[in-house]
Amino acid sequence: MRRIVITRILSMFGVLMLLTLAIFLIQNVLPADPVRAYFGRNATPEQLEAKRQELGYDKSLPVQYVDFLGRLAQLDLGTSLRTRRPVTTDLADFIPATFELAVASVVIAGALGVMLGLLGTRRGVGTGAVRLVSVMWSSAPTFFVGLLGILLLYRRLGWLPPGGRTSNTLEATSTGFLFFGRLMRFELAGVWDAGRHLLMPATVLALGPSVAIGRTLRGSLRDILRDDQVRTARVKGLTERAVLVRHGLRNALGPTLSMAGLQIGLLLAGVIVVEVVFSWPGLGQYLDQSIDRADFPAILGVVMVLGASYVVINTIVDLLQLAADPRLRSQR
Amino acid sequence: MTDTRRGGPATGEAAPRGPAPARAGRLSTIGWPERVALAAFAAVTVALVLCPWLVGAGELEIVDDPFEGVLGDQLLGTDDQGRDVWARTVFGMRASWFSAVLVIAIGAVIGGTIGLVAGFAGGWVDTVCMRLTDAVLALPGPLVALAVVAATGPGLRNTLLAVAATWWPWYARIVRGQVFALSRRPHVEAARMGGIGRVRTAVLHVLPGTLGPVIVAASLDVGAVILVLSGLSFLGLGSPAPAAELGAMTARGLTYLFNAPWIALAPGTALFALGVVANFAGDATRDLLED
Repeated sequence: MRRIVITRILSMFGVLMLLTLAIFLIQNVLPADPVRAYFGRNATPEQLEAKRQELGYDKSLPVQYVDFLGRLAQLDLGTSLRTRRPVTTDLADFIPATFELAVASVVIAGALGVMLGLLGTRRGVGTGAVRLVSVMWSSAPTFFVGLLGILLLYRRLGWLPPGGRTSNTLEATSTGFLFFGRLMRFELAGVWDAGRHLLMPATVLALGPSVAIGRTLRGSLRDILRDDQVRTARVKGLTERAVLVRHGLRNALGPTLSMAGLQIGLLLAGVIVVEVVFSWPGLGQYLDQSIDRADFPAILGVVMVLGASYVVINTIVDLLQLAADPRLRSQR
Repeated sequence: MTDTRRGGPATGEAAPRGPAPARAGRLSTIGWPERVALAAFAAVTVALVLCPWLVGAGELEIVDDPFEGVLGDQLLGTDDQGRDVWARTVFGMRASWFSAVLVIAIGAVIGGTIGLVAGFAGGWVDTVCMRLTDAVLALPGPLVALAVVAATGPGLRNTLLAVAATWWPWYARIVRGQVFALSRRPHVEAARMGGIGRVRTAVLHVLPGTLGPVIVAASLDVGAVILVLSGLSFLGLGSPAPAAELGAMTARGLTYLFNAPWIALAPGTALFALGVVANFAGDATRDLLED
């Protein structure tokens, strides 16, 4: 058991190193000239040469990579070309908003996914409809669902705000944990307001993952409910609910968890688009604005943060699976 | 950019299957909904090939005043520059559809080659290839693709190559699994004993047997790739500005969402429609070839 956990964590660090290598190569090899990109078109050759030496581009690639890792270890991701601030400072400002959105979305995705999965196991008319709706949902681009939501729930019905994190204009640009902060301080009106702003973007972001989670859960439940142990449980006189919860859900948890991990990772890519649609002041919007201005240090900084979260989350989910299913521990 | 690809560690390792029974691959094995889905896939492909002759205007042509409403002189009105939204949407659909197919084709060729080499060579070559595959699979594909496109500069060619470069690992796994299963079958043994060279055996006697599962995986991927590409285009990482691309058109239309909603809704709906056709056709292909 311990050996498996250690191997898994070591392999996580391996993948994280690969991520840094990929980002390093993207940054240093792909653009025609990163130094020229830094200065723009009107740089003198002397300026270029001086900057090249300062940034270490005259050294060999492996040496540059080691330098890059060193700077990364000190949380130095360079300076944003757009805001002229250290990228790390910018990121720290935008991470809380994205974190709140992602957490809310994961909760909704889990709830919706379990619901879809359970609905799909019922025999009869419902199954075909659930399957149809699942395919339709997973075919819709998040930005399309988002703008439909804005047109319907804001423009037509006026139930939910169209975007942003709060109605308070003084706080509109504030960073930090708005929703969770207010929740901790029991500011009920504030929680209500922040929650209303959170609901639509989080749900839109959760739709795709919930379908995938629901599909996996339904598939494994269907296999398990045909099992002998389930027949025994029924014969034993357990209620249908107890059979489903104790024998069905428990055994279906493994595959569903691993799918959920994969989906949470992909949700971190989806969050970018959703933030743009709902003017959510997080990493996604920062990334979008950085793309418009070809701000490489900022772009790669966001990719590094989201990518590393993806890798770490998938490792955590793997370990959780190990805890949930003893059979996995005995396998090598 | 939400990606609902099949798989996850539990199902990722493709179960090696024997050759499909003789009845698979016949249209009579699938029901009417699946046949309709396959027909729709073919119809969309043909219609999009022919689209320059089917729509009245060019994608960049200014046909009327800006912000003309739906069902006026133009079927879906005009955009902020007076271009025909219907024409641009159709051209955008063509770009999305064939881009997705191209990305998958590139990914399948890269992954298939790696899987074939790994499965056939075995030993340390196999270990190296599969470790590489697992490592790439552990990285968040859409994000890496985004970084690559941002660094190389937006443009259709760069976007397609970047997405394809992160899309091959599944195919490598599938092909390798198939190769392992097939290389123990009598016809391959016979080829080997007949003195046929390894490369020739691999290409002529093993490769054809891997095609079925690869086609199934590819058809299931079309919808997902369309979504990933549209997400990149939405963020400004597809073809540069004037080109008709559905994601970019939707992003632009967001500015006018309340006054001229059709500018954003038309390309968004088109993407949705393409995704639905692709996903149902993918399911149907699986039923057809795997039964």
